[in-house]
Amino acid sequence: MFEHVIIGQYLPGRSILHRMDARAKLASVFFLIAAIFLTNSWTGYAVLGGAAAVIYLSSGVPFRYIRKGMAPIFLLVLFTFFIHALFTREGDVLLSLGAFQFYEDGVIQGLFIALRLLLLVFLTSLLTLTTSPIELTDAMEQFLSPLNRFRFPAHDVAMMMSIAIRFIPTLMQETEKIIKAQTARGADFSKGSLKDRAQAFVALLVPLFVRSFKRAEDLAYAMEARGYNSGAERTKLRQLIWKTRDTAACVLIVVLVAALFLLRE
Amino acid sequence: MKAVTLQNVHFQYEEEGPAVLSGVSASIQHGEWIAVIGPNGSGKSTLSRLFNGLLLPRTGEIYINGKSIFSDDDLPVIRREVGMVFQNPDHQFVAPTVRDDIAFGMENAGVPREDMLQRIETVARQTGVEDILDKEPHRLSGGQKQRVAIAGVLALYPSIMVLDEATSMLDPNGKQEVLHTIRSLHASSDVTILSVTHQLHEALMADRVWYMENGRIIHDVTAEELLHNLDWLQEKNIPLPYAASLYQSLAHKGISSRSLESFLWREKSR
Ligand SMILES: Nc1ncnc2c1ncn2[C@@H]1O[C@H](COP(=O)(O)OP(=O)(O)O)[C@@H](O)[C@H]1O
Ligand SMILES: [Mg+2]
Repeated sequence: MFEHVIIGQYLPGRSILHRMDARAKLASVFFLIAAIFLTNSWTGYAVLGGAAAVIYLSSGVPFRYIRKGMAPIFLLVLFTFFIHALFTREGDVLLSLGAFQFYEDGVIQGLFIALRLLLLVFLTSLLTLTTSPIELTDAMEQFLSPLNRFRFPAHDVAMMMSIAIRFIPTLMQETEKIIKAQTARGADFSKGSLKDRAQAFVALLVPLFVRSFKRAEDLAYAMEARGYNSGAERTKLRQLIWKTRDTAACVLIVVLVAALFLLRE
Repeated sequence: MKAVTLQNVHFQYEEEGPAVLSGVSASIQHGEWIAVIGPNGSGKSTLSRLFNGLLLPRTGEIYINGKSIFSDDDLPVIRREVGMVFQNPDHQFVAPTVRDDIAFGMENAGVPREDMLQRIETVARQTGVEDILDKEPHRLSGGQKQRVAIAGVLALYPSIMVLDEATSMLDPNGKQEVLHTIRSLHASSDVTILSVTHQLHEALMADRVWYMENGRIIHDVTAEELLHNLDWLQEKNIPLPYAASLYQSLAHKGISSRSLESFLWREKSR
């Protein structure tokens, strides 16, 4: 059932976007998201859309992966569009459907919000599709490390995230094993009343949790035995390598964001 | 100087709790391989966790290469000198890939990156994991994971290696792989080894065997002496291989293999 698990939604590849430094990608997405929320003109969204298209083309990711990533938020996009279209009562009436009236400003507002959400998910999907979770954690750790001065344990947080990522497939394999074991004992996870299914689920969750606590204890022993000391200075095997093209990409993004800022109405 | 010296070690987990180790004294020479056997709950795992200060004795002394386990200054050094491999292959694999996991201990010890890369090559060859360096843990067999754990420990150049039932959760192939790795390590280096095991045939590969019971080392004999005292083994109820012990306990209940067999056939045809 879980033998081909892909962690997160990372899609290994050799495109320009794949080979960029994770820090550059993370910073760029951060700036672009800020720009998305600042933009309030059609020209602005046209520019952003163009930029998103260029970034997408440099990723080499087949479109169906993006579509899969965006599908879950589609309802949310529709919902927010209608909320705005119906409840912002300014400008001319565009359309009247019984008790509902669509005003011009409301529709425009709704479209903007929908575009914002779509662009947001589009860009973050591209980030996670082209960057492995390990690189992302490393990049986040570096961005958070200045906070060490304020006693924020950036390294421990990164370690927690990477352990969580490492154990996702293990947990899935274990879930599969427990499902099989409980099915062999007569549990049924797919049929029966809601109550029956809830009961079958408890029979799945309890062993899963018990084993996870045992694992956490063992893992803590193993990490301590190998000299892990939270807060201590460590060296790193994995390196993030910043190249000229990363600088270039970041400069481009900053120029783009500045231009978008000037296009504000 | 001995690799390990234990002097009248007492240990209990809780203040008011039962004594788990009561007066353990022993020593290990450099390069020696000690196997620890004994019934469940006799304190084997507890003893092995004292070797690098994961647990500290209530009273008594432990010296590792002449350094006291109670010295705060020496403890980080001792942690590096004593490598530990635990029972469950999945509960000690910390990093996302084999290469990262081998590096984990070195990263903690502050080994420079260039040295890390070189040491990973060396220990991966020593443990036979050089072809799986980029694999993720969930794509490895138990035996492979345990060899990665051994590689991660070896990369820190330990002088003592403690394995607490490192083969007990593996399939027969995995067991063979790991035992082979330990044996070649023992033959080709002067690493001191302490391995806890339930398997008599594994214990007999060691130079010396400690038999523990109720928190004490009752017998401290060479593997050869052990072989010549099979009566004593029987008397001590030393766990026989699983099939044999199942047979034995059935026999104790008055069930012969024949009556069990006909019972099972009858059940099946019902
Ligand atoms: N974390 C713990 N807290 C309290 N008691 C423990 C703990 N771990 C083990 N014990 C107890 O210590 C005794 C020895 O356990 P252990 O060293 O694991 O034995 P062995 O490895 O020989 O089976 C057992 O009675 C066990 O219940
Ligand atoms: Mg044990």
